[in-house]
Amino acid sequence: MNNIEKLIHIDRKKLNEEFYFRSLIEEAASLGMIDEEDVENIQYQCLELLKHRIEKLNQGESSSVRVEIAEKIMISNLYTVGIWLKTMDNADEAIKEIKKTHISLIYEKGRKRIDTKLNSARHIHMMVLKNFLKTDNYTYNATLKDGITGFFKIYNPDYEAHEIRITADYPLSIPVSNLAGIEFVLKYLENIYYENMFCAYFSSEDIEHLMFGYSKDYKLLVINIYEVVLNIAIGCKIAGKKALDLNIMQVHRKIAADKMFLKSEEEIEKIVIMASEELEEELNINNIYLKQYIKNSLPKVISSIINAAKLSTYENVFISKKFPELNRKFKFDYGIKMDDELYRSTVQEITQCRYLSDKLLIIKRKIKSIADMEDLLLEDELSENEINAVLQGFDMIETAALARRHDFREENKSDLSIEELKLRNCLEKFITMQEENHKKLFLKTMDLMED
Amino acid sequence: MEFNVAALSSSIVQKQAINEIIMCNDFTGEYGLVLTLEQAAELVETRFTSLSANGRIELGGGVIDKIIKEFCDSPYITRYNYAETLQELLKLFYFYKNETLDLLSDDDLIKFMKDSFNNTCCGSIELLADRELNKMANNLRYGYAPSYSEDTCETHEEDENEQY
Repeated sequence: MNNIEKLIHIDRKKLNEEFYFRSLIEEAASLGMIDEEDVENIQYQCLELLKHRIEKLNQGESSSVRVEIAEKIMISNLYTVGIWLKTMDNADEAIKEIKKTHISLIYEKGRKRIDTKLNSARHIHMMVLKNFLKTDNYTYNATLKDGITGFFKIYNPDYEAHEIRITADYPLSIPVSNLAGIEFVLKYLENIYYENMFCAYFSSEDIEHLMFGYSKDYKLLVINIYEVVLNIAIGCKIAGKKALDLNIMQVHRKIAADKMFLKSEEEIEKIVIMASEELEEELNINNIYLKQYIKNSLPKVISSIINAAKLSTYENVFISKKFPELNRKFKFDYGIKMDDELYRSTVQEITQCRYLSDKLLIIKRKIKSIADMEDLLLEDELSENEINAVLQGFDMIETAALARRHDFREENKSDLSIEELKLRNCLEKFITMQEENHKKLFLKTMDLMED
Repeated sequence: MEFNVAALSSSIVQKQAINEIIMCNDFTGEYGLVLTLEQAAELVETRFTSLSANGRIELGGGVIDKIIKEFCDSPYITRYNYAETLQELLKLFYFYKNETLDLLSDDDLIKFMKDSFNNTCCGSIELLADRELNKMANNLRYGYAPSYSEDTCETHEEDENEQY
């Protein structure tokens, strides 16, 4: 008898969180909690509030405004009113508040509440920056540093409270939907905070190597880092190993695959949930909000593992780390070009020679950089045989550097000049004529060079 | 629930506006200018169509009473053209509110209209619309003062040249 619950007419879940006030009134009207007269009265009060806000905007200098401006201010006003009404115990209480309090007063309360939320958002942003993930992912850095900072600079709670005016490009594992304005940003930052908190259990180097394993272009990808980390950490636990190093290898994938072999979706779900509990234990995660966030993220992890089990594509879910430092490219210095006049006279001298040996002698004596050599080979003054003879005098690195710039493996050759085609042809012939080991070395060196 | 600003404002504000116009008769009666209830309703209708044609909304009584009080002592307005002139002035007002990019306050625009109507335009609505207001809107859009005129500049320059 002590737990008598009040009868609540309006189901909060049915209301639109983004346009809360409007949906609340509509729901109340459809349930007969407010009549037509009440609705008209509310509309009139909203209009009065709009008039007051417009007067404040143009400081009484203009009695009329463009419709689009008025509509934007109206949406902003209703959003602010909704912010206060959301603080009521339930939607029925919110309707009572609307009936007994003038909309302008509710607006003022909502406006103060926005200020409080704005301060909270600033504080959370500061905490997000404190446990910021050290990553080269562009979207992560751009959104969380510049984007959110930009939001605080341009957010206009008086006339555009419902807008964020920035694009929160970095995707979350649990996206924020059905919210607008400061509420959206606050929730977005909250989610990011928990994602960062989870990622902070692992070393940033391990995460970076893992992301590199995900894609060598991960820096430019719009992906959620936390989700990848969580997948691997759970994968480690399924494979029965420690998750802290985020190191999952073929043998671990095999163990995980064996565990899930011929298992139903429900059984896989249980395995994943158990693995996540083991993970929390290993990492000693005690924060209940983080635990809840992980729990809410699990459905995505479960569905990706179920898919992988169905298609036997565990390597796409349980990704192995890769080490970019092992694939580091090196830069070849093509040298400084000689003076134009000197270059011209050298080319003239070469073309005037009758014999190849004389030409090669001048080239050896006067052309000191690969940059000049490249120009000479593209001049159309040398025949294919002569180019081959010149290439014989190069060392392996020099030839590879030249071949890197004039890559004969490119398929689209329609835009290339005749000289360029001739040089590529000579390089291809020269390299393919080499022994197999030597040829492989040439190609590998070409790939390791920066453009 | 309807929150279409334009639709809401028109229905609620309309009644209020007619009353405000009729109340102006007390003031304009001194000049022999009085609007009937029907003319007031027509004026409010013109305001509504002008506002929607120019994509604007107005909450409250608006500028009609301001225009009435400013123009009632004009030597070019009589009781025969009073209602018609007010309608034209109202249309011009909202049109040029947009054309001036809202850079001019209501009072300043009405004052400019009155000065031009009484002086340079000699009571011609056409001259006011196509010459004076148009020139003023152009000036504002190009960052000049509302009354800026290239002719006066040239004359000044010529005067200065003559002095030398």
